Amino acid sequence: MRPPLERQEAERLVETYSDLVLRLSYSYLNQTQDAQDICQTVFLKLLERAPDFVSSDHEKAWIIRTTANTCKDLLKSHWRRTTVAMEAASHIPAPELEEGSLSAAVNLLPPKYRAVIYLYYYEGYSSKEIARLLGRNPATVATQLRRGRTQLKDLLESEGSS
Amino acid sequence: MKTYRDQMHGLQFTPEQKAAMVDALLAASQAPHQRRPQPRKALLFAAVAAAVILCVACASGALQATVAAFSALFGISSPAQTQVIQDRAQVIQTSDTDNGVTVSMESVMGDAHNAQILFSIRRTDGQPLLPQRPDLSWLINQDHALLFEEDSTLNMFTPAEDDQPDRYLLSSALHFVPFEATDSVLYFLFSVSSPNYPLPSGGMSLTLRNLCSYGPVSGKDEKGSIPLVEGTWDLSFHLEYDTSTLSLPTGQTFHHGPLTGTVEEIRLSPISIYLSFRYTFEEETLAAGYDPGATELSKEAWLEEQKREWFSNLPLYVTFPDGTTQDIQQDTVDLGGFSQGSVYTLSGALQTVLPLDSIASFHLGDLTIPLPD
Repeated sequence: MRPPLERQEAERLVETYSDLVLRLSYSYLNQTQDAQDICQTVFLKLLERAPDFVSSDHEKAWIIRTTANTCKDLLKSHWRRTTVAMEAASHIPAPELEEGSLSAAVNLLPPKYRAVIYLYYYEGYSSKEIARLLGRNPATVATQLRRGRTQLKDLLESEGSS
Repeated sequence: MKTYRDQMHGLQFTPEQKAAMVDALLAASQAPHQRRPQPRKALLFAAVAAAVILCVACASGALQATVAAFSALFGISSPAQTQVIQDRAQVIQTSDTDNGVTVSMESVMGDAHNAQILFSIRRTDGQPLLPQRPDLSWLINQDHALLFEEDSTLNMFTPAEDDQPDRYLLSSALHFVPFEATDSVLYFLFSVSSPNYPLPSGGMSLTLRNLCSYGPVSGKDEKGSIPLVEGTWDLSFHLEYDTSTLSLPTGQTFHHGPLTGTVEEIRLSPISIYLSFRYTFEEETLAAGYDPGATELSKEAWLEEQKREWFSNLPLYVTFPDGTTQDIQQDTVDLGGFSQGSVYTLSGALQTVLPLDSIASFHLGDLTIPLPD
């Protein structure tokens, strides 16, 4: 267990990773209502487990992996499938999806595909790196990227991202 | 039109929300630390293995290990599930040793489109497999932290002579059975799925190289993993396991809220499901719930989101003669559910074992399909 957290370190963690957690959780969940809770969960796990990171890249990879696992747990949890009124106070507007846009098309993919697309096209990881981050077989990630690209081909070409 | 990157870049917490998170984090770090007891899953594995050894019906160490692995990973516990594994698992027990470490393919269980392959990895001198380094303690508490730097698991299912290897659309998942840092042997399960074409069988070979934990990930450094156990293991074996699958009657109509579906195909095996149905939605009923003041989504995007919610909570379960049920909606790994056109498909390996002979009926929405006796 690491010593009590200093404010400077807490601010560094939040400033460095909170938006990443928000975007990755949006990719999995297609909503932003749970993003703050997921952020808190991920940072609390970081405090609890106190891993020794060898580099900032290592720390970021840990954050991504833990966020993905937290989102997958949430997707499976029973309470999420029952309608629960969420307080609007912490509402973060979800992106406005323009009809025919790439974002709208990505949102039609299953959660696992959306997360891979996000890590590939926004965070810039290779499929091999994504496999390590998500604990999947590299061929599985390549399959998901290939399938996602097939679905998004025309839109990707128009954005110059293929 | 905003690009995908612009859309994602626009997703940001406000400065006020970030400040609130910092305060909450500081408060949490100063609260008395109560370490949650880590579930002793390795002990569960050993306990189940010990119980299985006492089982009169268990035939071999590989079968014992298979039952124990499935129990530790997926929580199977009933005699019916144990019997399924004993009946269907093909014992392989082929191994290779390199650098003082032996990797063994213990067993395979599957059907025509899915396979669950159990492996073990251990040091020949019986010492703990993983390096006993304090800086690796985080690895033990991190799910799915182990990967092989190279593995040809999927290649072995793609015939070399096939001119369209991509059509198999293979996917896989790797599960390490929960372990302790000092364990001398680790077990891991490869789940492989090929929904569109049957998996090949017969003589095959497989190469695994270097067991690694994920480490620094760099855009420039392809070898970003930390090798923990180095070696190259080549396994040759013959796969010929029970591939039987149960096909249920099709053509029925079911309902789930505004969703109406017509069954096109249902295939069940003890380790997998393949389900496809043609669907329609009561668009007016759905659209009536749209409130532009309550969401930032356009009406079209909101409707698509609603449809996905109805798919994700579609009742999908089996019932046993004693009235108990087993939900399989969220138990599908790999490809999961996918909508294309007006057809929805859910397929892949399950994180459980279905004792088909013990199932009384299959349920989809409000549809009940009795299983044949």
